[in-house]
Amino acid sequence: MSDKRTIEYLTTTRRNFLLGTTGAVLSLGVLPGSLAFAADDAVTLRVAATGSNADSLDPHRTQGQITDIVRFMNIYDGLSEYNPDASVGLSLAESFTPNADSTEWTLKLKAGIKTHDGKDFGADDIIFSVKRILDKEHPTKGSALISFIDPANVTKVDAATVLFKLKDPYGPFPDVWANRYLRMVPVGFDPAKPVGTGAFKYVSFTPGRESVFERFDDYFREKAKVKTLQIVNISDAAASINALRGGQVDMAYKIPFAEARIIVADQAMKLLNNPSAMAIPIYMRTDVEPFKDVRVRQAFRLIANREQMVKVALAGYGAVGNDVQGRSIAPCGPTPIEQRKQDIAQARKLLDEAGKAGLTIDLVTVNGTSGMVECAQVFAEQAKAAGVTINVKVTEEAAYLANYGNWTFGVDFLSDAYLPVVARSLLPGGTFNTSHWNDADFNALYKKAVSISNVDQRCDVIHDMQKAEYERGGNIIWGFANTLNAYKAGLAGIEPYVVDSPFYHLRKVSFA
Amino acid sequence: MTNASRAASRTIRGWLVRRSALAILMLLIVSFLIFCATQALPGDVALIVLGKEASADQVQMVRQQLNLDQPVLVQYLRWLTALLQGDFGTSLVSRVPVTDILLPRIMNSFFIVTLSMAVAVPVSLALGVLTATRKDGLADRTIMAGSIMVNALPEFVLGLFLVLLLSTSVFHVFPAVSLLSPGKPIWTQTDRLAMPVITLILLQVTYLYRLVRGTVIDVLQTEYVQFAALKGMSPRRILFRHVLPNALVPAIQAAGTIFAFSVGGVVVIEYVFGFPGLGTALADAVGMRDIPVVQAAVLVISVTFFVVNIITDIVSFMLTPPGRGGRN
Repeated sequence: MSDKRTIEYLTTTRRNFLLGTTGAVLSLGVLPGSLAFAADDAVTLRVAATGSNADSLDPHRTQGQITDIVRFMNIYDGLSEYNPDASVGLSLAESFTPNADSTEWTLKLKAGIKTHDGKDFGADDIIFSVKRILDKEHPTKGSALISFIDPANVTKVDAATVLFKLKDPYGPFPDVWANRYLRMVPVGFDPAKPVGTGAFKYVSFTPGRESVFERFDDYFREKAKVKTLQIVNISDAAASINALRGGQVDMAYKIPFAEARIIVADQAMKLLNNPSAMAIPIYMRTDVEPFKDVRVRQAFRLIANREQMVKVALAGYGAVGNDVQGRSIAPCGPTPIEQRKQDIAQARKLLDEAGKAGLTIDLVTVNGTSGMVECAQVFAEQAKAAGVTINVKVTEEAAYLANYGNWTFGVDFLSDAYLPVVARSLLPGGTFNTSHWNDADFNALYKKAVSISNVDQRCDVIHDMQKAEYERGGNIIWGFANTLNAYKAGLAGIEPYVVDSPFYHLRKVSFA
Repeated sequence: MTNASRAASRTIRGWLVRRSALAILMLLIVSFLIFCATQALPGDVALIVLGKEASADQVQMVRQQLNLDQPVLVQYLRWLTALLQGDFGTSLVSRVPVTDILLPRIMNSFFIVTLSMAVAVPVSLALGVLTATRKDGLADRTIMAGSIMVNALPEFVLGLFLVLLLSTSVFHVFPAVSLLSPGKPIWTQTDRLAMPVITLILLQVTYLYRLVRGTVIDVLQTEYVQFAALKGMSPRRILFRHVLPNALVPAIQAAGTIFAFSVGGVVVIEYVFGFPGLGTALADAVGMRDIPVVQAAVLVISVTFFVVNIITDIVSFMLTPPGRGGRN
């Protein structure tokens, strides 16, 4: 471009370009935009929860994100459901009737249940749902819960009656169906056009963004009090609270313990403090060193100052645990075992006896739920007094999951009623049995407990199981975390739940 | 068109072709490196999909369904072949086409970044010139102090401060969170974009204006500007005719980099305002080991850097006086 005319060309272009772009940029800079808020629709209940692009409308094939659970708990029903106090009530089921040894259960459905597309919901739909949950080709989250059922032995008696023939006795049969992952769907269910029996029916769904549902007027029990339900994804807890404070949502699911005081201090918002059954156990693998020796496990349990852990890791929003799964909840009530307290001298003595004085070990945790990292850090500090060095390793979720079940010493969280938690976390083969506990007496007690359909008799056995856990289990169950939610002052029909959540029962919510 | 201008166009075309070829090679390398990096990360998407309850058999089945049991190179070549046919693949986690996940987010990110830059660039130019011509004056010192303060704050602190100021505590002017309705075009929901856009503008202006200021001060001290002043040319004419065009080039280059960075790199701002942008989509996909989404998002960000660089180079080329570094 040494040519003089080229220089002239470029110089001219430069001036024109400057003028042109300045004009364009200035015109863009004053883009009009309505900065006024959209008017709130008082008949629309707007709920913020955490989810991701993997959001799904399929109640069985889901990653179990909060948005998914809130959605499918409100558009589908279970055969039974948890009441606020963790007792189990009937939902789609009219009755469950066992035979003498609880190996056969007859399910009778309520009359007049309609699906969102106007069809009758009946026995065929139940059989379809059970087979769908147990489909080995497409693994579902609920399959482990009802793995004692052989789908081939589920038969239709009449349009509203189903017979389940089991290989072994299963006493708490009605209770198991209250689990969130065991929702019932009609024959031919297509998650792209989801049809259920729930209080809300599908309108629109954008994964990772929002979903909208409207009241189902033919719902088989009391109808929803709001006309429209909008569930929006907000991942960040601070953003969630800001949306609530700014009036963009009416309810926010994710409230970290540290943020609770913001809600309490603001009169426009209410904090819902659910005394949930969620334990955050620090697990010790009972099949490998150093925790193979029960004295080391008991020493570690004696190191824990549980009050301090609840105060620091849960900001006081929780209850002290006693190395026994399942908060003191219905139907069995409080555990009749003396509360274990910190005893550093005894912990040192037990470690000495086991030849493990001055132990150094890694404790693996993850930012899974509030308190998981904090409890590990507090425990590591407390362990110093007993001469134990604990190195807390905070891992990324995927890395934690990659070795899940194999970590020697780690932190987990579990939330459910006692027997389901036992099945998943304290029995050999349980997918959450991170402590690899395999205690013959305990296993036998479990077998006995699930074979009893009488609740009081079953609770007697459960208390024996809890004693075994306390004496030789592999978990430091230092506390139970409450679940905190927040909502706009003026909403009615919101009450705390122990196992479920008020977000799973949005049909009860109304604008006062 | 004259012969000379035709020659100039040809030169630009040749340069563009060379740059494009180089960029495609670079994108291939980037995509392969990202693929290797995702493989090196601990964790398994099958476990993420199934969660902690998964049995070994279930994990194995999902791995087969997702073709994760095949050699890494085969997986990469399969992805590349599909890409060359215009198919970005399917998300391993949500099982929907990657384009369905990313396209709306790409549009969202480009829209707010363009909007913020449309304000930030002229404001930075004006502030840069203003403070350079009043160097060390009260306005210069005040603006400089404010700019350093804003830049010193972590992005999320700035975002939360603005929320307190404009949305929840002091004033209630803008919505605190960008809850965009998926069914409506983003440009019809500008009220919900105000907070992230204001945050971006503040971050962009406070950086960019200092660059303009510095360059204008440098140009003001050159001999040709002093000569023009001695010649009796008016200060306004000196500023707009001689100083500004010469001071623009570094600013344009920096603006280009800020634009490309903002498209995929403002994850924190996206989280604070709940804005559904490309950055959070990429961060989520990495967390879930959703390789096709990670690959596509990184590719989009890389292409953005490449295209923006080309554009800023062309713009700089247009703006640079031929005697002072313009292409010969």
